[in-house]
Amino acid sequence: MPRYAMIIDLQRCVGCSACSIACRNENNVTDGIYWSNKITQTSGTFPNVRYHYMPTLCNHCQNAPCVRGCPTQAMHKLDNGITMHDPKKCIGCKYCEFNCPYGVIYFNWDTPHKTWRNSRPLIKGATSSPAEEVKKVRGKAIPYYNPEREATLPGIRPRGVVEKCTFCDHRTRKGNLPYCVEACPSDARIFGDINDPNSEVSKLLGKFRPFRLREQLGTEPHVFYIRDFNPANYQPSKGGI
Amino acid sequence: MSQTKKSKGLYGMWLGLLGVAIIIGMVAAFRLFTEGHGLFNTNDVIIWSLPLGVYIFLALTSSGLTILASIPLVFEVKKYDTVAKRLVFLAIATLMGGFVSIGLELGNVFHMIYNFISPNFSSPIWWIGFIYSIELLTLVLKFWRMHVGDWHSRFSKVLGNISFFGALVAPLMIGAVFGLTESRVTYFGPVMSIYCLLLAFLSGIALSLFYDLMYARVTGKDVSEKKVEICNEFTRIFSYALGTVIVFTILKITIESATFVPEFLNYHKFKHAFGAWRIFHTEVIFGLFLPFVLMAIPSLRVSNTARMMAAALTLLGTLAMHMEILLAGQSRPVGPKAEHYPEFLSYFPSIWEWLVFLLAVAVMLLLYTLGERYLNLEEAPA
Amino acid sequence: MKKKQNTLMKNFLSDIKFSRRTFIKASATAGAAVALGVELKPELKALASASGVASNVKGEWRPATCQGCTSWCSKQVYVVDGRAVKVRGNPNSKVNQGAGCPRSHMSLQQVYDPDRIKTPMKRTNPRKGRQEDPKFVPITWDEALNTIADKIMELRKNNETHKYMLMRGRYSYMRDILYSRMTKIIGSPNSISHSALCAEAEKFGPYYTEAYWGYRQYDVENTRYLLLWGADPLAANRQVSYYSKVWGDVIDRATIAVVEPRLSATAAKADEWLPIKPGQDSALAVAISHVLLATGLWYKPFVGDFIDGINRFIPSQYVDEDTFQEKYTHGIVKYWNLELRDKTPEWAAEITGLPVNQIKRVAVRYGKSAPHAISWLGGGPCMQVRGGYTSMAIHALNGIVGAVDNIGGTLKSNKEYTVNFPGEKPFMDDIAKTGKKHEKLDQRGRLQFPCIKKGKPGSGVITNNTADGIINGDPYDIKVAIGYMNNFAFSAPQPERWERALSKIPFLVHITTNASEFSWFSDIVLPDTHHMFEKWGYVKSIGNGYRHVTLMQPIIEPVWDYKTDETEIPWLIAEKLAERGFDNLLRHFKEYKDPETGKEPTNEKEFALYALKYATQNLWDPTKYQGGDKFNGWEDFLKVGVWNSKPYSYQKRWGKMKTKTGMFEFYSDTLKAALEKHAGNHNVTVDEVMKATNYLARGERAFIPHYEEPFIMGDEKEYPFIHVDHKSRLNREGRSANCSWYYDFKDVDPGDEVWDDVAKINPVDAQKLGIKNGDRVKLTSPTGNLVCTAKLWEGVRPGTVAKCYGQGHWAYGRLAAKKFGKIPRGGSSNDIIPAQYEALSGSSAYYGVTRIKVEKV
Repeated sequence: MPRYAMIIDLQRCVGCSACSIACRNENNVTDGIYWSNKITQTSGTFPNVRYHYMPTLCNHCQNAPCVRGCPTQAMHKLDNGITMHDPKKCIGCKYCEFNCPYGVIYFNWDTPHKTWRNSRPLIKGATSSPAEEVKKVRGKAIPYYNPEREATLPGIRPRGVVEKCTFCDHRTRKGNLPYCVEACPSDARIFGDINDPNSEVSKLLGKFRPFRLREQLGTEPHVFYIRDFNPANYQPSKGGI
Repeated sequence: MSQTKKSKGLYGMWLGLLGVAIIIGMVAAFRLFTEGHGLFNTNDVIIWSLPLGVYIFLALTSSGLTILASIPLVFEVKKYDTVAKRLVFLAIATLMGGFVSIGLELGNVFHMIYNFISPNFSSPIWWIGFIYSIELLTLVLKFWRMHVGDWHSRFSKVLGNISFFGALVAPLMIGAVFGLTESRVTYFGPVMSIYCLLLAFLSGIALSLFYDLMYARVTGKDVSEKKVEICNEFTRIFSYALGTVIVFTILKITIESATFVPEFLNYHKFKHAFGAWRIFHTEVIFGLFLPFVLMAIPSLRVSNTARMMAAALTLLGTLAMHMEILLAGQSRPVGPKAEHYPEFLSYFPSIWEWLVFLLAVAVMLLLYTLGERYLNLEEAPA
Repeated sequence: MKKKQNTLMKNFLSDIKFSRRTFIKASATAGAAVALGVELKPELKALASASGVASNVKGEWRPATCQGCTSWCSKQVYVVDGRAVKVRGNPNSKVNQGAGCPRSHMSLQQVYDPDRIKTPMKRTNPRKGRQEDPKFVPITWDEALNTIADKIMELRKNNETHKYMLMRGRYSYMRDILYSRMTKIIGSPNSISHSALCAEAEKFGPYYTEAYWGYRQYDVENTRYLLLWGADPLAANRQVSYYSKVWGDVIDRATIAVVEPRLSATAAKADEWLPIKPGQDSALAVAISHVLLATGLWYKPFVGDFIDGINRFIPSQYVDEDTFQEKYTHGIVKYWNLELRDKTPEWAAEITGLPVNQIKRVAVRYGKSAPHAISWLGGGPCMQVRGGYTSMAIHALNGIVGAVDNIGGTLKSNKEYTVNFPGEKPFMDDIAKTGKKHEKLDQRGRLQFPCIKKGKPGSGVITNNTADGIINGDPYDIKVAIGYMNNFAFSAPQPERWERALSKIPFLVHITTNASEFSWFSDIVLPDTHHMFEKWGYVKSIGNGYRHVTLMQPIIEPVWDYKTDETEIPWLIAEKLAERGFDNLLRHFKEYKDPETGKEPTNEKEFALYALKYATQNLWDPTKYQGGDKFNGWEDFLKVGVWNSKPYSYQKRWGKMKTKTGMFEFYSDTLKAALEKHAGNHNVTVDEVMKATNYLARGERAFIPHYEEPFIMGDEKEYPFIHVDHKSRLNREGRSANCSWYYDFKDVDPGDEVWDDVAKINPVDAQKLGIKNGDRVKLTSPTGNLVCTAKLWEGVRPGTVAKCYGQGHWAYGRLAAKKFGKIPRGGSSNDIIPAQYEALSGSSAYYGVTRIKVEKV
């Protein structure tokens, strides 16, 4: 059984968020919920300033606090290491969201894709309405609905349950890479089996000194970061007094 | 004659008032079930809000009442027998109020079934759900036994022991919900569990005291000497409980103010839900220090009005303290959520959250009222 | 109250009825559930029960082309059951190599935008203006086309066909049919493109140094130094996909320096950020050039050397031209004597606000990296009032270090083999010929508007001035106008002029996907196809040392009755004109025969397809093969979706450039000839041309790259800040404002915020003004104002305020506008940018052009 892990090469990352938008698309995620996200930082004061971008997603922790805390095992681990959620069992207590040290779990406070249910046209007779558009193209809740998501989760998670990144388990089980990995224009995401010493993931982990988010918590995240978003060169100097 | 008529009228009004409150609350509940929790002033940073705070408060208070009840029921301090049945009933009714609040906070009660068919023993939330379900069951059974006059059979005793044990463990588990979140350093550790247990006892005794005094005032019944003595002793216990919680609270606040761990520093930047003077939050001053001072003054300590006031302040104070603890730990977005939210969030309940509160309290008060009327709560074994 | 309850019930029911079958089941249990006070999560059940069916639907990746920006990437679209579901880069392209970008995904929200016009419509309110609701009502295609044909016939009847105008926005290379052929055959000179809003000044520098009028490709994978000037290739134009793909490796090999007053996405990952004062780029460029020459770092195999090898480029001293032997360049010594000799880093430091050390450091390291040292010319420094010479100065750096047409340098486009459509001449009757001779409405070629594209005065467009031409009826008034995929009432600086201009046109047609600000003033609005999913067409693009020709195809089931702007609609108009006795256009269109069958088109759909096959035949027809990728035929080409050129051949143009001298010109004989020709046209001197175009250079300096003090509108006392405009990595040319993803991810532009439109202010300035994060602020320039939110950010130069372009629509859709037709969402930068021009190229000035003041509101 593989143990999936992801490496994010910050030097390759250009901070464009194609991963996050593609994720929205692949998983039919409603607005305001970010399975794929980022942490940015503007450091320094003018003119010595840089902006840094670090992509984030569910870390699929080995010791996942969300799994430990879930009262009904709705949040659970798969054999391949993926932290998976079963909305059928979810009672909406949000303890996982409260518990997650990485801020990657979201709750469906409202009906997902609500704006698409509006049946009022902008210009009467000359434009359709969101609801009409969805119906006309035979979409589901949204016109660009991706039915492939349904293989392992409801295509759209209903109101009253939490949701988060699943490492695109519906794709990996068919031998496809997670969609954020595929959509990353700069090849900054490398995915694979960390148990296989010959996988790209294992090779890179051996080559660099990777770091993970909030490692001191002992959660054993399986999203690793290598290199730096801005590996800028500078003129050598000993400083001065 | 006119006295009864008047009180009858008042009683009808009171029931009417509760009925209206419950109807309003039911409408709110319907909207929550149809439209979802978008109606709450919550978001993915402030995840848990007033309904959860109310649940914690009521559930802990219920545990406090159960602990009090076990003084006669488990430890067989006979002189408290006369208050035992009422205490058990109050514990049940208060817990029911708590269940109303958590039910609406979850909004997904049907799926609670998975709590039983898919349990997770490492989850404090599961344990809370489990323990309080058992607790409710045993309390109801115990009350039934007492109601039929069976106070000391083996079965009745076992029930008493179980509910006492549950009342001790449940607050620890509620504390553990917070104490186990390593992501929120301000909560992490055993402190929250101990604190919850202390607060449970405090709000339990406060409610019991307040209820008794209020009951006496409303019914205008003459108070027996025995009862006065119990009341005096409960006041003393109340003062001790206040003192213990104060020591603990000061210790907690002092450590929090002295540390440089960033999460605690954020604690200081966070705009306190109810305001603060220096490092002391308003609810601590008025809900903890003030009642303690009131009860420390000998002339006031014996005044029933002062006692009622102190107890009421304590009840409001403990609810506020639960809210403060709940909100302070959530005021700052975790990880990438900081990208879409301000550095610190403040919270004020929406009308719908207030209505959940209203419904929970109304259900609880209705139960009190009906119980008092029909269940002969002052009954004690001969 | 009752109504509210009804909607409540409706919401509740719509929660449940995901499919008819589960609806019945769910509603039965829902009754019970409500009684119990529990929620059922009916959606979940409904979705779960439906999942078995939908998962079996097999999708297919079909080739497409994205025009969300001018990267013009080849794409693939995942189509399920006739429905577009996902987008990715086409791995068959050697330009973008399968790489995507963030904004391409939003095309899905565009194509299925519920606010797209689904049918032709006409205005019923005869009064036109910003405050006048057009009161559009739907009409049939037939009615719309008849009306248009009648209006055109009226012009022809009255011999005033020149009063017809065609305005072009986003186009494919099918453009010539509607833009050029149809306009000419009707008989008008007025085909007005949007190009001068886009980048013409950026092409000016490369043309007048190396005679290349076009976007460059940059050989980043082989370069050692990247000096970017107002270019943000990781976020904005061009080839975002390709550059994003390789940047992680480029960083390893090259030093990257970014010149820009705002910390851009590219600057975030750069080694050097040079936050220059807006408009002063040419000072930095000439100072770097000065250092390169003074320290002997010019690339001798390209530029040549002093005959005796002794460097005579000594600061402030003149050099004898005869002592230097140039190789593939022209006028390096003149450049030094006329401009560079006293342009020291110290001089530039004061003007640019950059440290002397940094200027020197960048210059020396740039020079030491020669010839693999790119000076990357973006729009920022040259889309300015005096940006023409900045464009030259920046591009001239490539000449000094020999990076032109070189490995790790700046490259032009590769050869491709598409062909032009049949000529229009035989179909232009006398009316048309006379009509076409009139002066163009944008007044190009007048003394103050040389617009010397490719050396020919008056050949470039000056898009934004067309509004003034219309308003003033100068040279004449316009009676019938068609605009397509353009939105000048939003995208052009000082758009209020366009509102007046468009209101004045008696009959205006807009071909568009959404009812935009431009549509608001139109008499007829025609629903356009979306380029990526619904249209036959092709575009060409360059990058990675290749050029690709990528196809646009109708690959999804059309949702409504859209028609294609550049092919189907002109055909349909031609049919209607023929019905009215003017069949020249239709006869011309019938010449676009299917190369495979030789059949002439009989309807608009065939016409669109045949026209594309006609133009691209050399690429797909194996019997006509000329180079690059080879296909077995049309079907094969369609399936792959993209043709790639041969790889780039370096240094092939050294000594053979199409300049007057054949060399890379520091002293531009090419520009001299062009300016003299323009001056001659008006019987004036070049100095007078300089004066008329607001340039300060006189004499010989007009022919060399040089420093010009920027022309920035507004008094410094009243307007203390300089406005810095920039583009979003989520902009699809200002057309993504109705996509929710645009707002939900807006903070991927460094410094910006989700669901907000912010003016980025340095905290030092903000403190002086008493402005806090999140305050509402009004930005006012001498020509307009906008209201947005203040954002305190260290990534902006004090004294400047940076604001992203893209929001501030007051039409376009329910999301784009806060209230459609009335209240904008955010503020449009163009509202504060005055209509000013870089007149030599005709470009609109967007950058370093105005001062503003900031007030709390």
